[in-house]
Amino acid sequence: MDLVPVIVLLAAIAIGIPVGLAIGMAGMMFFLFSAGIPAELFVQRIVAVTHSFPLLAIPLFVMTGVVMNHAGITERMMALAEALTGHWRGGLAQVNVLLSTLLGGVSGSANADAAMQAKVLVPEMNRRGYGLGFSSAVTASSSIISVIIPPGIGLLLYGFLGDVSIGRLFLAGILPGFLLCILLMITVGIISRRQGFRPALEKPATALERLAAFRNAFLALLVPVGIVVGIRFGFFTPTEAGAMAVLFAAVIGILHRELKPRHIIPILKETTQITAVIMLIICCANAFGFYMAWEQIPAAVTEFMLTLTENPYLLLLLVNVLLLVVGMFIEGIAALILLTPILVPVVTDLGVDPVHFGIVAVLNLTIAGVTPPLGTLMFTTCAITGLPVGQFIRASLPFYAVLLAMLLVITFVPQLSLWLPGLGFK
Amino acid sequence: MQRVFSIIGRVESVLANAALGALVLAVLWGVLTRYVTEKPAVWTTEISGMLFTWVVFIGAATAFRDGKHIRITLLADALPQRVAAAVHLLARLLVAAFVVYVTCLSALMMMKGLTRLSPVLDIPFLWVYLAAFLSFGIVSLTCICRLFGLIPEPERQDTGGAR
Repeated sequence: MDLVPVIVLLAAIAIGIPVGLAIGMAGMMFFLFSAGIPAELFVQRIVAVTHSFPLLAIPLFVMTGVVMNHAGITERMMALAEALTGHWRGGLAQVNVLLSTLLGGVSGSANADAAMQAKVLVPEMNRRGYGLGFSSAVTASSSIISVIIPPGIGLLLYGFLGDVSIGRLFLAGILPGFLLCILLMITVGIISRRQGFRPALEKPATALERLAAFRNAFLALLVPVGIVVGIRFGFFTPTEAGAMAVLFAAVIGILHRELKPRHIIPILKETTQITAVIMLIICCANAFGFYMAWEQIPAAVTEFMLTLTENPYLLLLLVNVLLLVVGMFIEGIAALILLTPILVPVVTDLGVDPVHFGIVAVLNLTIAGVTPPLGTLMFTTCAITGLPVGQFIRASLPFYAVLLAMLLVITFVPQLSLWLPGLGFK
Repeated sequence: MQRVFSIIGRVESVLANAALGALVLAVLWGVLTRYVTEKPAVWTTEISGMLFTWVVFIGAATAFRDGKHIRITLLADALPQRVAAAVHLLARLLVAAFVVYVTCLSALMMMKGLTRLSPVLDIPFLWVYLAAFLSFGIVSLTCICRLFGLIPEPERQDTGGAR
């Protein structure tokens, strides 16, 4: 087996070449040095990816989040979160966690979520004496929730690459997402009690205030519901749902009189940039995937893993460790793109439901984003709040414990992921 | 030279914005016709794919110039300063060689695409590969100008290790 491309890939990433181009270079090695394949097919392979209709959902879901941001939906969601939990101990930290959950339904990206909350909530938390370490740790850890609450780009990519139903994946993420939200809120509550953090509101918001906050955010909360229901019942493909979500978000923004024509250009610009960065990696990975398929690497990996163990639980544990290690060194989406085609055959071979595994893999690789040495969520948050990484890690220790425990629960209780998608499929 | 790149940047933004706007409208039109009329528009899928190529590749060129692509600098940063500088130069040379070569390959695909027509709208594939050609061409130009110090390196958004 020719391993030159793999070595090129690792070396190129190590010397600081952008990950997308590093994957492209590695793929190119194969096209250059295997007999009988014209090198220009490389270009055909990377361009062909952009012609896949399912992947068009990426810019559309990204755009939905961007439109919502410009349309002032984020503030409405925050007001709702505060009305619900602001009077609890450590109120603003609870708002932080709940906001991630609410926004999970409109923004598909943990990085965007972490950046936004680090900008908006952390300074305020800091002012009220929560400490920069705790505030940053809560922000980064809670942004993980938004990845598994539908719609999410991670789940979408996993479904596309592993040939798994995206509608089922989206449904599967809901329960684990809420569970993670509750666990993080309990953690925040315990820490706040110990540290004596004060609530954000003197007394609970009245029922009337809560209703008002809910009404303000109501239309936006419908977006994720509409997407999941629309896909699940076959009204829309995920891509069409994405386009409808953009339209709906724009209509909400106009109804609230917050979205103006001058927002159009910034929205297009932001969406293009986020999309291009993700898609360059996916496009180049397609050329690299050609090499992997040619050398039958997924099959070789499957065979190897199966010689290690044939016990599905042990295998899942092994795969989790592998993903955590890989995720520590390679950015989550890139790791997902490279590993999904390899790992899905391995786990399905032992009877693990690929939908269940999708939630495990995406959650796992996102958790790696808040851990050292290379956590993109950690860096994003610290870059904005100005907290040294060492202090971030110390403040995050209790959250690491909770996140890893959650990962184990999701891994070994498949019903959590599979109950909801299984409901209507019998 | 910086002025040339600011013009290129403006053209990129217009192209990518127009393509993305049209893409959203095309997909929406597809949904609409599927539910409202008896014969859904099949051309929307094809045209949205082509527009997507433009959004991705032109956007990728802009992102390259702005230094937005994800890269991992942790290992290189850990090296002694002079070694790190050498490794950085090596990385830039490799990237430049790679993108110049891919630009040539894209030109080759453009020529081949001259006669290959898309199934529904009969659009020559030339127009699809043109996006890749322009993108890698601009990135090549950026790399070469940077190597000769004609334009500055993108500002480093220091995030510790990955960005």
